Amino acid sequence: MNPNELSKAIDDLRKRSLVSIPTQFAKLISLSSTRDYNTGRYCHDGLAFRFSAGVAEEALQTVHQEIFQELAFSPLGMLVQDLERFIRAAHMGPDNVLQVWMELQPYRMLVPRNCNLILRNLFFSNVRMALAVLEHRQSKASAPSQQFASQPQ
Amino acid sequence: MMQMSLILIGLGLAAYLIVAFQRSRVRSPQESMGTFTLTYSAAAEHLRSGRISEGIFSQADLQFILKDAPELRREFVRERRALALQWIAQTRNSLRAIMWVHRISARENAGVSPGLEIKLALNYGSFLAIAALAETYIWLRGPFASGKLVAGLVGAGNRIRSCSETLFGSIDPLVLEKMGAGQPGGTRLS
Repeated sequence: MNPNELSKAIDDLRKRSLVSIPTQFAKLISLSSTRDYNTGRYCHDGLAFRFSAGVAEEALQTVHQEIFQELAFSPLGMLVQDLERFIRAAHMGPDNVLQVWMELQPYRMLVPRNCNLILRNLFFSNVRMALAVLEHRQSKASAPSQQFASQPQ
Repeated sequence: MMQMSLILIGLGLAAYLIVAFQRSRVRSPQESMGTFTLTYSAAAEHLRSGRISEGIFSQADLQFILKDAPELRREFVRERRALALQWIAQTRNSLRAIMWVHRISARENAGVSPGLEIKLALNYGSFLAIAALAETYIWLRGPFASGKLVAGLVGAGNRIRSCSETLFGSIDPLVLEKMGAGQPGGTRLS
């Protein structure tokens, strides 16, 4: 594979497909959704049309690993911030998204192949903690309004 | 009486050899981690990735939890404790794999440097001692109170890795593969 072509494909992927995605979490979801669950292979028609299927696959895999590592190594505070922005940008209500994420744990599908076991576990643990922090913030924010609502008129 | 004690010593020795053989079979990284070169490169890669330990033992993350959601402190420390123990276990396995690769190559190598061997053995011994101490400390006081021990572990691991890289850096991976598979030929270190 031509390394020049690969770097062009990576650049293209970043500038065309990922630039408009506002959060790292949404980028990670977008990239992992281009991967076939059964084969583990990546597929992106637009990128494959401009380059070749092999180059497109390699570019997707590389960028997926990079964004995953960025998130897995990022401080917990930043992860919480990014996840909060992602949840607020979702079409469903933030409460609902938070509950679904805690229950179904879709973040488990975002890990690239051949990822270090400890790094994967660190990522899972950080996302669990980030969700718990957001839930904690939400319950704190809703507590005064509930208290106010329960006060006699 | 003398004969009896000799028989007992003999039986004890035989039992020790059986146990040692079984342990070496169970721990053989070749069986659990694939081929020889893969074992070595995966182990070296783990030791090189110091960012994982920085993430696990991050004081900034602890401060964030204490400030933002102090009610979650216990859960957070429990999660990080489990990760810290996993990290120590994986680091120990990586070093064990490197020492295993080294042992096999040293058997085949006529030009073993005694200085390097002593350095490796001392670093490995100190790593095992610090690892045992760090595990106990993490169990008792949590992962965020063991910064110096973790730094000691990372340091000993890096020293072993650099010693082993000096040893294996000049070897063709195919030669390493042959050594691992027990095939004859091409086993001299340059």
